[in-house]
Amino acid sequence: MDRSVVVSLCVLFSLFFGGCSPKPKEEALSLSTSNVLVAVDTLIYPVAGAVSCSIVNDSILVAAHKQRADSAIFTVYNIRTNKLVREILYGQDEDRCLGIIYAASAEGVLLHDFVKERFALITPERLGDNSELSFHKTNIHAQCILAAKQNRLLFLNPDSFENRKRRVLFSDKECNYMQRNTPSVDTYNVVDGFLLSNKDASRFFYIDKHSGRIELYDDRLSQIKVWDVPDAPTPDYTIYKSGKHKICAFKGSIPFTFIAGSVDKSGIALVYDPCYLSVDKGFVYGDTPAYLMMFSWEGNVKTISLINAGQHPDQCHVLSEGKVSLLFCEEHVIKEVVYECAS
Amino acid sequence: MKNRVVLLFFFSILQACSPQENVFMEYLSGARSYDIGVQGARADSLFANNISSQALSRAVVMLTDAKCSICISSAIDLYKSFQKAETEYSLIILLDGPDRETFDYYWFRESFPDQVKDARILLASRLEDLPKGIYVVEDNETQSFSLWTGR
Repeated sequence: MDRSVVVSLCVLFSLFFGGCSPKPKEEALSLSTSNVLVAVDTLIYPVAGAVSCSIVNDSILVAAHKQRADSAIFTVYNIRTNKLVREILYGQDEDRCLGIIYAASAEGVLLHDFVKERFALITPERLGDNSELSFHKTNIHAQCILAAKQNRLLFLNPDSFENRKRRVLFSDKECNYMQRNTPSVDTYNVVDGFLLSNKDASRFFYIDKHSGRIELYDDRLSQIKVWDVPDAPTPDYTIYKSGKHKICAFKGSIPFTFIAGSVDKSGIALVYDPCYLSVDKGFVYGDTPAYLMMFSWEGNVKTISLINAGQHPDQCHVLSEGKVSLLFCEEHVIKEVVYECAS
Repeated sequence: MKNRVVLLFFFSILQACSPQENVFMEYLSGARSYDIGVQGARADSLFANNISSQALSRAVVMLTDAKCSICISSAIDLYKSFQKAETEYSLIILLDGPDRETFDYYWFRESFPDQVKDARILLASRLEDLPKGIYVVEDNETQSFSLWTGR
């Protein structure tokens, strides 16, 4: 063979293999029933009508509420002073919101009013007061948006259906995102999960709400590691046409897996509570009970603990002194049950 | 999360369909109807007296969720189609509340510059488990029920 051909082939091979990013490590999780959470304390907060909640900075309880006219759609409650710090009312007025998804990161709690297509950031130092919020328009339409460094937003790419496109994206500095190509199928409703970032945003997890998939990324948005829960519910899809658009939707009952997650210095905690939602039966839970899973920022499984049968928490929180708590949104209160951490 | 669950579920029950000339007329014809046992039922009773019997002489009633963005979007689509339809039937959008804040936000954002026909928009109360969808009513008698399956 001609020497120049051999050299060219060698260059092509090195370019091809050098350009490929390393494949992330894949791991199956093992669910055992040997570690069971043991409750040691219960706390009650007078926050009514919450549909989701989180404890931030160990002292602030934030909650999104049912949409009711002239009622709060979002509240901030200080659990140390037992005082309601902030409430945002539901409504059309400028200072009110019509639909809220919130997400916490080291930069603060980001409120996304997805109906009015705008967001506001409550910085950590402002979480405990009722300072005026400044809302900004955004064209990002995503199920999870986090505040990131340098006034950017980190968000779940609604086009990342079945890993066909990059899972997570950064906005520009105006907090918008320019899509290069209009996708042929709108997958917004089936690409749903949450993002959990560490303090310096060098690592973050993506957790899928409808399958057993957990993914760990670095600050270059490269996937480092993935985990799959064995025998997790798997969704089925259908595509329907609406005008010129094609929309991907769940077919039949909708599986739910990871319900919520929170972060601390050492890693993340997740509530895994598999179930199916259907029109005639509501939420149907199978034989697999709920678990609390904890992972380190380095990508190691710390603990997987069984939650007592029949309990369906709405959130978890890692406390100091080897304790975790589970939060339950009840009709008139939010209940926090504190547990000894399994070793 | 529960609100989004409702939205997701609404999506899940939708089925594929081909685009048509005028979707209002297609629903009116009953071409997309399902038998849910309401045919022949007295309509003002069915809608828990939220609509007067006079208004139900010839009407297409769309019962929809007042908080779900996709549901509101489908009501707007049906209304646009109704504006272009040649029909003696009226369109009544019956909102399953408890309020119409989110609905009004989307509706007035549209501003409908070439408004030729008005739809009657009513906020329902005391509706119990009546399936969301499109009901065709004649002389206060329910003729058909269809699920919204897109334009």
